[in-house]
Amino acid sequence: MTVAQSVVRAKPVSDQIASFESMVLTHEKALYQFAYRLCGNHHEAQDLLQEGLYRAYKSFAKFETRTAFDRWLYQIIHNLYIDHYRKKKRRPAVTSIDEPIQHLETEKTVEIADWTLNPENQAMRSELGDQIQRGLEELSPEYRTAVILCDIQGLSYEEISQVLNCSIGTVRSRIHRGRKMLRRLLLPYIQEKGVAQA
Amino acid sequence: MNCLTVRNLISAYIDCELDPDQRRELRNHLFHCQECNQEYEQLVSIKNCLENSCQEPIDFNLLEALYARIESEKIAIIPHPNGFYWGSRILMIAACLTAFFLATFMLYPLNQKSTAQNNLSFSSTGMMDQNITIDQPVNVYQASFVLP
Ligand SMILES: [Zn+2]
Repeated sequence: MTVAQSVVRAKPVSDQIASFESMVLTHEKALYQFAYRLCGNHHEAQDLLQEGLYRAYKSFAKFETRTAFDRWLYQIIHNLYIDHYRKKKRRPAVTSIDEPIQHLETEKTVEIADWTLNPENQAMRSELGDQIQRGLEELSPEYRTAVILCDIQGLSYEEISQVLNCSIGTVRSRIHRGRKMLRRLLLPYIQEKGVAQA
Repeated sequence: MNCLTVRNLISAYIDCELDPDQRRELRNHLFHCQECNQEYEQLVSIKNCLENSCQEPIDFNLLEALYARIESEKIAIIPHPNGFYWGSRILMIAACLTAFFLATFMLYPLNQKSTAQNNLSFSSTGMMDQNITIDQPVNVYQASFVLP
């Protein structure tokens, strides 16, 4: 290798790091939101995001600039979550739409009764966040990821199918079933508080 | 489109993921069927609820944490700085030079010059026709060629 070639070769290292950093800064809020909604608490979300970013940094040379950085990281984070975090969940994942009705109904009424004691607007918004989180945690990880990516992160079905590495038909059914499960938990709350109608 | 089909497609309809024909058909159905329309309204409110959920703030520096970890593990994004190439090149040259000198010393021991001359002088009587002057210094290759 000549000196000229080695200079050319050396340049992309700093370029790569700079572009990596700028992409992280652009997407960090969305990525953290995704990790938080997957895990349900800040501690695990932070660990998950940091581990995902570390993996991304190590394999950044393989990252194709044509693909979107955030989707690439969603995929890494989702896979990590499935691999390492799923086992930690105490409660078995809900797989049937019909199965959890009774369980959810009873759990929900108790929680809503507690929250009506706290009528401030700001508190209601964070209550809604908690309620959403509880609802999401009732879903199996695949359904949860699909719903989060669609409704919170705003991805299209095609983009979600790339992240989850499955067909668009599968994405469609996961989102639909996931939303119907969430409805059981969230709808009474929404109707009572009159939120999310605007 | 019957109610069952419509209900399976409602989420895709909400997300604008249907083709125009399906979309039109479904919209017509929702207009006329109150039950499906109610299902639609409910799922829309769930989607709105998720969309409007508050953003969780990050209270740590993501890149700082990443670099702290990398620093602790001494990982480089591209593991071959230029020094590596020049270092290996110098090593190669040094190895070649060493091999050359070793070979030279083995082929030319310091006391071999006189031995070769002695050998030549012993057999010099039969070698006059080969135009080799025995008084001149002769190296080992020439000596082995000359000797019977
Ligand atoms: Zn109908």
